[in-house]
Amino acid sequence: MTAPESRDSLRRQMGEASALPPDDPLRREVENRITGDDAWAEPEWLAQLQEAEGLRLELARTAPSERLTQRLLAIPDENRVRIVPVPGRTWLAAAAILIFLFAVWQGWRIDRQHRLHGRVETLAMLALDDHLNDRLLTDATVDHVELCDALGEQLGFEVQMPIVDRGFTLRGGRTDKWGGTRIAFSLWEKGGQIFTLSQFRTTDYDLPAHLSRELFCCPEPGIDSIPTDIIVWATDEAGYVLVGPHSEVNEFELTANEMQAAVAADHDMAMYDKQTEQKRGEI
Amino acid sequence: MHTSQKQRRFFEGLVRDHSAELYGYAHRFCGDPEMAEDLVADTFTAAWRGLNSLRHRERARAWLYGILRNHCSRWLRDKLRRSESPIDDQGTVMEPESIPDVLDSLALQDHLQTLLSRIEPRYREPFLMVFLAGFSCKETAAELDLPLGTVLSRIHRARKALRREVANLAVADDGSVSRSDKPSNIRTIGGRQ
Repeated sequence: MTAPESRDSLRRQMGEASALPPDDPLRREVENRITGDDAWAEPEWLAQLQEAEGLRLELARTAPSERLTQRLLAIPDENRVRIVPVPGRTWLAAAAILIFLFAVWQGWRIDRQHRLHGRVETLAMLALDDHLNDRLLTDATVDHVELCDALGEQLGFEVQMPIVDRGFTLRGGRTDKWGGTRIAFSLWEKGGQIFTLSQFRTTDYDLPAHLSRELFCCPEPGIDSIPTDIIVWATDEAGYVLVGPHSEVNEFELTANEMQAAVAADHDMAMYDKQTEQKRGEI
Repeated sequence: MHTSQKQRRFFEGLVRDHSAELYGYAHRFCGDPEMAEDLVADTFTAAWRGLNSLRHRERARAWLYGILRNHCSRWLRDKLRRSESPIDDQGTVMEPESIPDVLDSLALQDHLQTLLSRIEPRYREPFLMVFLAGFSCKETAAELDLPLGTVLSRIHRARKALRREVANLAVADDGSVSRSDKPSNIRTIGGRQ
């Protein structure tokens, strides 16, 4: 390092060190360098310190106006709303969380209903397809007990015919598959018109054990050139889809409603039969 | 005592103990007494609103300075954005009027303020923190999140710039050219030699 460079370097170090307190090791190190250096360094160092002191004094010469303190002391009064006690904030947060949870729950409920309705509609369409296009019967019989036993044995769950004794005449039935799950299919006749009844287990399609009757109207005329209607309902995990001509199914709708209420109230089929008998007697 | 009353007492203590020095810093930083009062008022308003966030009350002074520095930085950004004055490469605002004219009309306080306004803000900030607010260089480094060496260097540069400006003033006074990095006598400018 040349002499001028060395001088510049020391001058810079002095400039930095003069801002440090007297007991700072860095400042002491610079002071030690100064004593052993050229004659110019010491007076310049003293001038640096003097300048630093002068700067401190000059810079401090400011005074706020008298009204500033009053203005500052008034801040809490002007900003009362901002200072909300912690418990109040906690209540607000709790209310916000509750509203949020309620909204989430409502959304989930609507979504669940939507998905449920979609599944029921799919089952109705599958039953309609069977009704219109596939009336094959593997067990041709008019004895519903015999058919229930035969299908129940193949399917592994109890098959019931809730439309028995409603003026329908059984023609026969078979097992079928809806999306890989087996169901019971039966074909009925009433007043010269064909009805089909499909039974499934609600658990197979992720449906609730009890379903209120839901009516679907098919705009296209069926094989018999009569508009077709579909009713879907479920009691005690047994789901049913009845498909038939428009007017007849609508008539059945009320009957099915009553039957559903009766079955849901009492799981005993005998009770249902008894009530049916009573109604017949009244009529 | 109720919590809000305790907070209020504490806040009033902060105003009494620190408002004057914060005002000094703001004044030296922005050069405008009225703006300095606004900056200090903004600082204390923010402090009152965020009083619950102050965990260690013994750090209240540094906390207040931190808030003030943020307000000063925002003010500076807004000023530079609005300013139609040309800005040189170092970010220093060029004053339109000539320095000798300023000298003639201003007292010592104003001289110093004018000179300070010519120092680049990043050098001015640590300089004021050490020489005006009385923070040590290490505290300043911690507050500004800078290495100690950088703080020392910036303070040195600030002082060097100040000397250069003083030299320029001297040139205008006596007609001779005398630019030097030697420590100029700040007191000479004020006529206290």
